[in-house]
Amino acid sequence: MKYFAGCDVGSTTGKAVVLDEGGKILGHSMLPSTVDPENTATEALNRAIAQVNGNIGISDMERIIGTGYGRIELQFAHDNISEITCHAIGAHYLDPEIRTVIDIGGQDCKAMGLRDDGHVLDFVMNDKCAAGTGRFFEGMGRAFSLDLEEFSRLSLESKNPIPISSQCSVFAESEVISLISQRKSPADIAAGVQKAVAKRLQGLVRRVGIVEKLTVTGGCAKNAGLVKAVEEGLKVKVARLNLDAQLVGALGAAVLAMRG
Amino acid sequence: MFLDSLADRLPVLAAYYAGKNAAQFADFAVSAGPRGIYEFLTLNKWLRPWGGPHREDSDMKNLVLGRNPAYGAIAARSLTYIAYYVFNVFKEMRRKPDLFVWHEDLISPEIFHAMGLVPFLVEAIPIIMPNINSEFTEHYIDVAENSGYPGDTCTLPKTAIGMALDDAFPPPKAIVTSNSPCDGGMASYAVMEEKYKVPVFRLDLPYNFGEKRAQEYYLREIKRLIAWLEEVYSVKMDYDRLKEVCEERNKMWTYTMDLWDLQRSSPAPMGGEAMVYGHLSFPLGSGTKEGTRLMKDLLRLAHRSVERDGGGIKDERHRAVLWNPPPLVFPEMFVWMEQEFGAITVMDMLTFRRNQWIDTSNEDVMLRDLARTLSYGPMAQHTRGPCENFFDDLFYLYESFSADMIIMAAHKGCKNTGALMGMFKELCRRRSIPLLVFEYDLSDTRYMSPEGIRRQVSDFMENIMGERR
Repeated sequence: MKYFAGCDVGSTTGKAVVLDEGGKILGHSMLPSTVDPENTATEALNRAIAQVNGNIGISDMERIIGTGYGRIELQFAHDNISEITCHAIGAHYLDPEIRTVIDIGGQDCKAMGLRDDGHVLDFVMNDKCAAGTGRFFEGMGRAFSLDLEEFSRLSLESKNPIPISSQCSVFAESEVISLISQRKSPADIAAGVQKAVAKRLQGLVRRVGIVEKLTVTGGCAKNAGLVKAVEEGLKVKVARLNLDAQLVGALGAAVLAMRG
Repeated sequence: MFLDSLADRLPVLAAYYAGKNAAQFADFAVSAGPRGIYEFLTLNKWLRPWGGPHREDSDMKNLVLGRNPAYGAIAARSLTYIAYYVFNVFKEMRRKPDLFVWHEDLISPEIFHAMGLVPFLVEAIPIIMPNINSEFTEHYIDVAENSGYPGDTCTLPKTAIGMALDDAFPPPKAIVTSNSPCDGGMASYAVMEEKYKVPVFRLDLPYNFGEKRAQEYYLREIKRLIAWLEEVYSVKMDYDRLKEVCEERNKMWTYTMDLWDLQRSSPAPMGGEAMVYGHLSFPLGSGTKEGTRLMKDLLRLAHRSVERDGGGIKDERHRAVLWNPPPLVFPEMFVWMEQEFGAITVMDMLTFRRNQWIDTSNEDVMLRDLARTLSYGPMAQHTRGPCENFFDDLFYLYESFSADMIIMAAHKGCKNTGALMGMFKELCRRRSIPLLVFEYDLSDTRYMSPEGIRRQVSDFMENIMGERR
């Protein structure tokens, strides 16, 4: 049996996926990133390998591909490939009809247009500003004293979202705190935040062109309130993938490792 | 032949051209004398403190040394021509101060040469300076902005304004400008008119200049310019001399067309900034023997590149067409792309021009064709007509030069092309043409650093063109 692995070392989490030669997912893992990308990747990969039957280790992997911000540091990887390509390939592998991917990571967000074979046709990214990234939602959660999941649930309860004018993460946090102190409905404020971020993402994705099917990957894809706001803003149904959306980059890397 | 064999050894070649530039400066120094040198260095403060490239990340030597021998020689020869132009203008200006005329970059200099005037392309220094010393460019941009010039306009005219306000230009006796290519450029000449209080002529290039009525109008504009110059400078147009100048230009154009034919071969003999700077000889010196000599040399070296070196770069994997000006603060972008990704820029907007042949059979026809060369010049034809001018040229170059990607340099200050970007992206998508749009500012590293440009290019080359880092 041959094994292939992908390691996605992001700014917030490290992820790993192990495939067999038939492309079946045998194991996967996710853990918080440390200051050392190689340690993060090694730990993530070991945890994913531990889910595979048999006494195997990293050296038994036929081919490993690294991706994410820390990919250059992975000495054990046979190659490294940009996370843009990996998210596209990963999403397309899970659903070959996907043509547009929005990846919302810890500190950047990207929109990608895909060719029929899953390779990237065009992409745009925002890596200069925290607005519309996981960092932004961390700040928002802080303002509400909620974690991302609770924040997401709260926003879904809204009946009348309050528009948030500041898209800068620093100023938006101040605006939200001021709305909370005015005793506005927390659910409506939270939904307003989701809507503001979704609007920003709409601008990004329109630059590559909206072609269905469209999906959202990365950690923020778990924010159901945001995904709903994206659907409403773009007037497009977001395709749900049958794998944790945060693992899609690592899966794409593993698929590329398998394809050689 | 001796020099050609030396050219096989790139460090020797670089030294040869450095020596040639030094000789040009020495020639200028001898004619100008100590006072002239002092004045030259006072005006050109940006050349003084370091005597060479000063950008922290500069790797200018790589423009010559990082390429196959003949391509390296092309890069060096082009830069040497620009150095020649600067020294020669300052030399001639001292010799004939009453005949000194400033002109804008979209007005080629044939008419001035035919009238015995000393033309100075105002934007030449703002084009050269950021290549060498972006700190000084940024200083002049700040001078312009502090005087009230808007922050979001093109930094090329803004640098020129800053230089004018800072007295860094040799003062003109009169200025010839036009309504092209952009509002920012036009506004800069209003500032200069106010600053120098000299006569200014504005050539009015009509919209839809391909139409007969527009061409007739523009011919009248050219005649109006000649009459104005005759009055301001008290000189007469010498039509025999104009014929000689136009025929010289035709020779230069013939070499250029041959060069472009060669440029269609794969691997290409040359490209990148060497191509752009080589073709600056059109606005700087078309109709002069030195301009023709440059194009002849470039053609000879391009043949050597194809026949002996097997092309300009070692492993040509991608051929790009560049639209908009290259980043002046990062000319090494091209040699870096060649080395890193095997991607050579085979043709670009500033190089490409249409309908440049001038019929010299009689005065009227000659002036009509001269007017046409201006209308169809780079940037002029893309900013004074329907957007199809822009798209058609770009797709023509993509096909004609067998490119596999288009680079759209999204210069922050270029509102004209910025407005077309969405449509252009859509058209590329429909044609499945890989399009790299990278954000930058022509002359200001504070908006986008060379490292930021590298990152954008790398992301594209890796994700779209399948290159690995």
